[in-house]
Amino acid sequence: MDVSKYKALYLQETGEHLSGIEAGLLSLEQNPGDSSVLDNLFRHYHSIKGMSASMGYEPMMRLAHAEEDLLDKLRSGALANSEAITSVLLKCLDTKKSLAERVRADEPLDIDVSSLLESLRAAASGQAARTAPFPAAAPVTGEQGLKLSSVMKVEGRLFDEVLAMVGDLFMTLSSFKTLTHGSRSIEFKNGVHQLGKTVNGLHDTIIFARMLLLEDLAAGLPRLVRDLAKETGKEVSLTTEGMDISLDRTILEGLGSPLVHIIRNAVDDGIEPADERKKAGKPLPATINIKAITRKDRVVIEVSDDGKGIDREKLKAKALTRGISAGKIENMPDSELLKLICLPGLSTAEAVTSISGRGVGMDVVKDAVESFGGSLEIESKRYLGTKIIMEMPRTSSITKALLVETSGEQFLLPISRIEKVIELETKELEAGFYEYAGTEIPVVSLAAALGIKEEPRPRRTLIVLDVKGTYGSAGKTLAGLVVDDFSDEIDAYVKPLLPPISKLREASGITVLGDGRPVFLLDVPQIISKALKGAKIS
Amino acid sequence: MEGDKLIITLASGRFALDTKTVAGIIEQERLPFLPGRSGFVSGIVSFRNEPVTVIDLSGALGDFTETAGEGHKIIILNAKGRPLGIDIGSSQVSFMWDEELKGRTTGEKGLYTSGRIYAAEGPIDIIDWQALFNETTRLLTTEDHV
Repeated sequence: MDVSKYKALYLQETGEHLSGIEAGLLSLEQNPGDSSVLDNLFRHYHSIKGMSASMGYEPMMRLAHAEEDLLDKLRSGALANSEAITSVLLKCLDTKKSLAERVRADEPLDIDVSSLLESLRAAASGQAARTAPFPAAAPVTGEQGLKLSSVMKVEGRLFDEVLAMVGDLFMTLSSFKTLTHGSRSIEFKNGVHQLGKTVNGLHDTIIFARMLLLEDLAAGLPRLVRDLAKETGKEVSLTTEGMDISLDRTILEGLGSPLVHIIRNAVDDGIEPADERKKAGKPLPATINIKAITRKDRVVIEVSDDGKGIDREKLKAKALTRGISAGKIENMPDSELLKLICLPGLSTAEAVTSISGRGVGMDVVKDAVESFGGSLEIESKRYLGTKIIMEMPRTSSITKALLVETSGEQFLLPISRIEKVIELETKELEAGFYEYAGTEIPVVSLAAALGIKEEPRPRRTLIVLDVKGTYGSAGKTLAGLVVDDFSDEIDAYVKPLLPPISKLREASGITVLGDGRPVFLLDVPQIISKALKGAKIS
Repeated sequence: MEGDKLIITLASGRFALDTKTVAGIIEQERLPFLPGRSGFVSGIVSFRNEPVTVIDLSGALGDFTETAGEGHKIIILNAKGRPLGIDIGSSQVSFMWDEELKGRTTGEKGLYTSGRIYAAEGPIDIIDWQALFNETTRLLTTEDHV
């Protein structure tokens, strides 16, 4: 594993522990029997040992391990603290500081710590601690001793607040931009342009600082899979791809529960017991694969298992008991049918276990993904496995969007979904489809989809959108949305939908334009899917 | 039920809101469209850069005939981060101070009212706007398959 990317974090945390050790040892010198100081020191040494072992910094790890042994004797009362012991520990501390400096400078950790280890062992066995000769250590005073870490530990909440402030700045900027349209002052226009560059730069910096690797989230999953497999008596392995993709911290945090829910469902209900898999000629262990790819400014995360897949007949039967009519179920496209598992309380699991089967989970997954303006798709082949596909933005807040207008109302469409914008005669769109790039794509009127009265117009605008996975898993990926007109492409500070509009299906967020107008960012897959479903039924 | 009240005079009667929850009053010529709106939910506005869902008060109280007035006077209510705009059309508002209410209020409840003030000019129902907020949330929650 490449650990170099964790070096800054290691140095920052080690620096904190070394400071804690220094303060603790000095305090221990004054109060040799203070058990709370000993406990704290023990934690510091233990942390350094663990981190150093993970990073492969062996001398640091060996020193911390020997110090821990000595501390353990002091803590248990088997050994009484003495000035000599404190001196050895302080010498070790200085050497660890030197080692940390070498880590920082990417220099080899070739300091010989054997004499220190010998002294620590001697002290731990009750012999007088040897005080010399010790390896060269960092000076305890002076420039190096007082050096501050280049990495700062900042509470995530602070970043959230700064980002919200940048969002407000964007809205203020938007107001100024609106004012420039009616202004003749070149100075004012230049000033707004400069302000825009600064605000954009500030936003980019904050977003960069908030990005975390998917790997950070996935690090805890092997243990989860192992524990679930043990609990259920199944053989399961986890593989991952694309974990070097970075996402905004808020989105990554929000992904945690959905991923756990999906994996729990897969291990408990999707994957068969080992003997069943053997009989079916399926490989052991079973596999859960998490794959992440980027698609423009969005990320697609697929969690697939090679278990038994979703039993559609059982799903239909469960849906009937939930009051969904038989006719409606039979007319549903397969992709919609599978999504029924996201209805609260609907589970196809044979039995309720401590892990899954209460129908609690997939509704939480769907809600979590949609709360970030994402979408969820499910693919499943009986006896072969299930794939849960989550698509969501990589960053929150600022979204590049196209402002469109229909029947006097304005809406935003995410640029990442737009393939092409074409102005056409209205009559060219009346057939319900349009030939684009050699294929016929379905065409949906935005006004009709939202229930807005449409005014007659000779020309309209067709927005060709990528709606992959929204209407039939094997179907096309493009669809056209008809609007009256389009105007600017804007950087919209998109806020999440909060109650009472948090459950709106047609929109994934809202922004307030410079002139104070609230405008919804439309959930394109939802709108297209709903409109096409309606067209099919009628 | 204590505290100063903002009084709204509609054709169907007089209604009161706690002034503590009134964040402001704005006027708009037309309300931007709110996808999925139904029942008495009428649109959305922004107030101090925050989106606020707007309901038609007359409609919420069962009188849908009063919505044809010119312009929208919207009372913005906010408590615990739950904002709601109440559109009173072109109706007038006035105030009743806490001292005037002493001994005149009762706990008589209605669907969206939490009490009643027996003023000299007749009864004034106190609006339970949190109940209206909850009903607005329900109206805007679209179930896909049920």
